[in-house]
Amino acid sequence: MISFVVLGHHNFITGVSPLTTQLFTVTTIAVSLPFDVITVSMIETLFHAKIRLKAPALFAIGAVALFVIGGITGVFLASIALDTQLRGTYFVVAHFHYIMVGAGIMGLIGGLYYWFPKIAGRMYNERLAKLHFILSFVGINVLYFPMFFLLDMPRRIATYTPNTGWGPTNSLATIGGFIFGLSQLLLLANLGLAARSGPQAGPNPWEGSTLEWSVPSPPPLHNFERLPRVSEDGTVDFGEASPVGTPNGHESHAGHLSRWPIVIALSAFLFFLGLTAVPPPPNFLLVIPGVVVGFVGLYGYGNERFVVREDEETDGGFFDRVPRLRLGVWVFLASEIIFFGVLLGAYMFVRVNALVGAWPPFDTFSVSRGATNTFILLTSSLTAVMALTAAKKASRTGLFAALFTPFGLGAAFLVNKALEWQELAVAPINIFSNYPLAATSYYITTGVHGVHVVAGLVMITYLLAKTVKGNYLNGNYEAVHHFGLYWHFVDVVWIFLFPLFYLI
Amino acid sequence: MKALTNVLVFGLLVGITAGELVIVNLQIPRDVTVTTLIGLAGVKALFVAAFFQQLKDEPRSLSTVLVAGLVIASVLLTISFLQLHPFHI
Repeated sequence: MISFVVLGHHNFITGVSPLTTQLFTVTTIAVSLPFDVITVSMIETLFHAKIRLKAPALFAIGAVALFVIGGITGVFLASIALDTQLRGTYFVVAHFHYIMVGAGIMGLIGGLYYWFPKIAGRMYNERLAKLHFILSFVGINVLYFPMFFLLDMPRRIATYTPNTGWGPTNSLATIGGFIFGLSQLLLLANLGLAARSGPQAGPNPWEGSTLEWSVPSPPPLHNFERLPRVSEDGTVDFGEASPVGTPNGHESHAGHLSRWPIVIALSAFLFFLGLTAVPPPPNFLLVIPGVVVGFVGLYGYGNERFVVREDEETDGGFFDRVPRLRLGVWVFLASEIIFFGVLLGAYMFVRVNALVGAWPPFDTFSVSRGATNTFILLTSSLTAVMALTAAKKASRTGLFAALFTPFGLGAAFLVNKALEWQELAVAPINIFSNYPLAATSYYITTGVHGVHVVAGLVMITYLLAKTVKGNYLNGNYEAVHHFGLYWHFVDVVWIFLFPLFYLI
Repeated sequence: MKALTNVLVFGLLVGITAGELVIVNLQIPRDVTVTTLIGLAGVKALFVAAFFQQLKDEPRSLSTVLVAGLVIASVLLTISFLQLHPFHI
């Protein structure tokens, strides 16, 4: 929880108010306390343990050691006085690389060595792995430790004059970088060779007591045929627990093997790569395929047979009277509230702190256009409610009409919005050059809202297509209800945007 | 009956919006205008959530999900308001 409210420590000298910097200093130092407890706990696990210094253990212990160095230097940076001097220097670079490479990457490599025999069913060469650890550990320290002494050298520069005295320290760090980088070839070679021709690892090479070591290596496609029961003394019983999956056998396993999530992830990768990284941004040669692949992926995922069995062994607890899917929609909407809360917070910050004359005069954001759009969305919300009623009454014509109306109204909203955007961008208002801060907050907030309207139109199209095929009329109208929840939320967001941008 | 309620709620929402348009043109202190308008937007949102999204008929546990989101959003809004005058140098 505390780590959520430390973000301001990146902004100590950006001109935020002194109160804010003080608050974030407190939270940043406060977050080190639970981390201390975690670190001490990790070290405590070694006491009275039968420690075998195999490669995974070496990497894990090494990661904790490096984490301590990175953590302690972080406490220096939490102090405003020190941070004012140290920000933007190599001291900061050294600090966060001890955390990210030292603790993060070393820990990940340790995990890879630990579970590789489970993944591949074969064991790697332990000596080579130990050599890899020694070179990595030495390499990381030779690479990053000297940077602590470069606390007068700015980050992100590659050239400097000899009289700065930074040369030898940088050379040392470079040597460390090559040692660390090249030593990773040992990892690749070791695991590559082991995967081909390493000795058989057996199900439990580490004599581990957790569940994954109780199944063969590599694990079968479906790990456990029955839900294992673990007793208090650690013994595992695979016997008479309730069967996993649907009662009629292996049908539900198909759900585990869907290829669509990775297709959807690929589409997001293409989309954002085109939007930001590959020139000229936006690069439509990547953005458009990203969108198309995304739609194909979502369509494929939506059409997949997906069998979910409500778990009999747990009672639903707090949410036991709420259908799972509807709960999911509401959790999504709650996250959307937070998202728009952030956007509105940014708007309020800019608005309240705007200098005199920096905000456009009243009615620059046309009140009549804003009001028109408000009435459009309110009406569309009513028709979305009517769609649900029609579905409940199994009236196909009614459902079709009640879905088609919000589609038309949503489209009208977007047309009105587009006209308004265009008017604002041209002379004499030209909001971009005359009121850049207002333009940014207005276009981003209403733009994101507009994207939500577009998403709603896509949903309606899907529902209309299904309605034509005769769906939703046999009591299975949950999808119409879920669409309504989303559409009303989009309406509620506009209910707030209208007074905030147009009326005050 | 339910359809009638929804139409009445719709009428109320339209009425409040019309009220907002009137308030904006009244000669009252700006602070009062801003507070009233944001308050009215809150009332409208409440009616949409309770009737159109049928939250009033749902189990209370579902509303807590929504409240959790509102609380987090409020914290974020409050952080932005801390930048305001008394402390801002």
